[in-house]
Amino acid sequence: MLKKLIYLVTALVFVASISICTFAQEKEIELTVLNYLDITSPEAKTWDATLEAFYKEYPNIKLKIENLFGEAYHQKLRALAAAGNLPDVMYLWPGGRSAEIYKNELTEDLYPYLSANRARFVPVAVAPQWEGKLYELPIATTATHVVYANTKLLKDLGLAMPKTYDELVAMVPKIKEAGLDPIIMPNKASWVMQSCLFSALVGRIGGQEWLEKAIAGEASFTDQEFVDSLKLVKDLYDTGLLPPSSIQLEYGDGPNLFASGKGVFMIDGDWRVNALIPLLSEEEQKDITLTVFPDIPDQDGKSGSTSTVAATGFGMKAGLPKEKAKAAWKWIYFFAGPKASEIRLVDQGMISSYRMKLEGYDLPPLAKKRGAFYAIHSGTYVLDDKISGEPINILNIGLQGLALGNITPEKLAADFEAAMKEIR
Amino acid sequence: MKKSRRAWIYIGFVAPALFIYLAVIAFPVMSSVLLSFTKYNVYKNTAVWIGLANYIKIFKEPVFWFSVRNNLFVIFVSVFGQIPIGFILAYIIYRKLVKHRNFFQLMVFLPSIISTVIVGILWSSLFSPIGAITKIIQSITKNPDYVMSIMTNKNLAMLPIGFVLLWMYTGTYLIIFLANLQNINPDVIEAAQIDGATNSQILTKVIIPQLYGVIVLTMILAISGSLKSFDLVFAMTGGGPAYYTNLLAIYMYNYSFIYANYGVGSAISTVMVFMCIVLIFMIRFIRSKIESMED
Repeated sequence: MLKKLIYLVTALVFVASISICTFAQEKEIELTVLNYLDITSPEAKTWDATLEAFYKEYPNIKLKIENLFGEAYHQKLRALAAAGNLPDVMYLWPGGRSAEIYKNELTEDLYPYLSANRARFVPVAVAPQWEGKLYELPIATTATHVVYANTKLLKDLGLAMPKTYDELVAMVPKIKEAGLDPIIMPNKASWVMQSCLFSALVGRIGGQEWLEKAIAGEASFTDQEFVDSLKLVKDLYDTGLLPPSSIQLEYGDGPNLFASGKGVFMIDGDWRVNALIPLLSEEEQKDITLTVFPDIPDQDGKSGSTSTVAATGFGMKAGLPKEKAKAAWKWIYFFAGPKASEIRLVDQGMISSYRMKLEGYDLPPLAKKRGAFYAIHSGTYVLDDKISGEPINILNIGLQGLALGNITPEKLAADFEAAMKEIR
Repeated sequence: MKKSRRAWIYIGFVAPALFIYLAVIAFPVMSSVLLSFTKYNVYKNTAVWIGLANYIKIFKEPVFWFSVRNNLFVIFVSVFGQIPIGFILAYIIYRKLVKHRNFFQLMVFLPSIISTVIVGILWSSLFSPIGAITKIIQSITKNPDYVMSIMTNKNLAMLPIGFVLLWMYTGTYLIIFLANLQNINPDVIEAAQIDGATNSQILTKVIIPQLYGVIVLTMILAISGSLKSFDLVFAMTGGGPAYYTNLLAIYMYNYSFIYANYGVGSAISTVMVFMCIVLIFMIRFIRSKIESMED
């Protein structure tokens, strides 16, 4: 009898220990990820390093990644959303581009997951994105408008950094005489003008307060503030600051043209630092200044303001099973959190939305300038972050129309306001 | 064989193809027509009947009519450019009027087997202000300030696209015509020659009448292909600058996939289908008139 009891207890202990071992070893979870990445860009190296660090920390989570970039990404995401077949984790925008997904509640609110860690991020990055919810965890705050100035070229031409718009216009003859373009801003893609310059101009001329009122419908986009901003865009072409050919240039042409000294200024987003760093030596980077559009006569907005937006990040599909949702959050938080932020800081000079100390990092000169830029320049809204759909397309196409001379600022303002009225 | 058994055999053979046709072509077309009368939310799969509002909206928009104009230009290039040039080149090869016929044929046909997106990007960079064509003209005219600006001219922006369409698709028609020319009985041509017919008489009185069917077929292919034309122009210009190179398919794409307004997108696609049917009936009518005149 005792022998039987011993056998029974031994068997039970054996089974129990195997069960404990099995449960102790975490189950492997696979997540489908739709990522926004140009695999030929310098960012691809940073992405690989981030993945490596993630797998080291979470070996039980397997990411099945599909990388797409540009319009191809948006097409795929829209098609997957329409088919009700979103991936577990996907790259999202704080507003505009991802508005349809948020409006239809296809992704999960991340606030319950972020909870106590919210204080670790700069407030503007984790502010509500849609109807009081946070649908993606932004990796940084982005300035969509930066004027990159080649100070060496300016010096060679005997010119100084312009403080006002009039001073900028006055430079045109001298720069053109030297066979250079005053401003490089390839905007064949229609979003570029609106996102990288016009939004900042509206914020500067009309001020943030007026802009908020206009978006809410308490002021009209036919007001003088908006019309004057459109007139300024037209003036950039009329004065020769922007060559007419700029609306035929591909967006990707900008950094090469600027780095090879074909223009004195380049207007683009802060993300272009990543593309410029590999093209310029450390010495050459010291000759590049990151600033904003100079003061405009009668501006109501703050001097030195740019347009900013909480940047992109990952979000998760709504209604994931508990285990998957936990794993998805681990990736989302890792990607916006301290380790991935450090990798991006060192590789690209990207200042993260996660609060971190910048001392002690050996960064390229242009990356350091990018870091300093945010401390100097305040931000106003980026229009396509706050407005989506048909109105923003009317504006984007209309901004190209101003360059081509087929629409007046007044008509464009009226068309835009009419489209806004339909969606308000 | 009993009639009923034969009927079952017919049904057995036809049913799978008919089912696929109904599922893949007829059902989506009919769904699209129905959606065009609604305000449809694709994410929630809900539709609200709004009658002709989507059609009224697009007919009021100047961009729609500009896109129709651009589509008609593409049809013009296809029907009066690709088909005649394809036929002439096929005739030259068929009548052995050039040496190295295989090489010639390959060179003309090659562009049509390259990915359309690659062709679009290639030509877009050639036409760019910093592209090869601008540089060549700068060096020929010795004017370093010259910039190719044809794409920014509202009335001329479609011309470079027309040129690329000719370059890319003429080879397809060459192959179709060449295959059909080779099917013509050489004895007929020989007989005409013995009867003293000149080369132009052989072409107009012997060869072309035998190719009427193929010409109509190529025209139908050209019209339907031109109306749904999207990929090349989307890769080359995306419909820009502004809306100068917009086509109906790009216009539809913007409404459906950028603004998520599938009702308006469906209305545009219904108009495209309607235009296609009208144009094809016109061609068939013209063909029957020509044939009855000859009879």
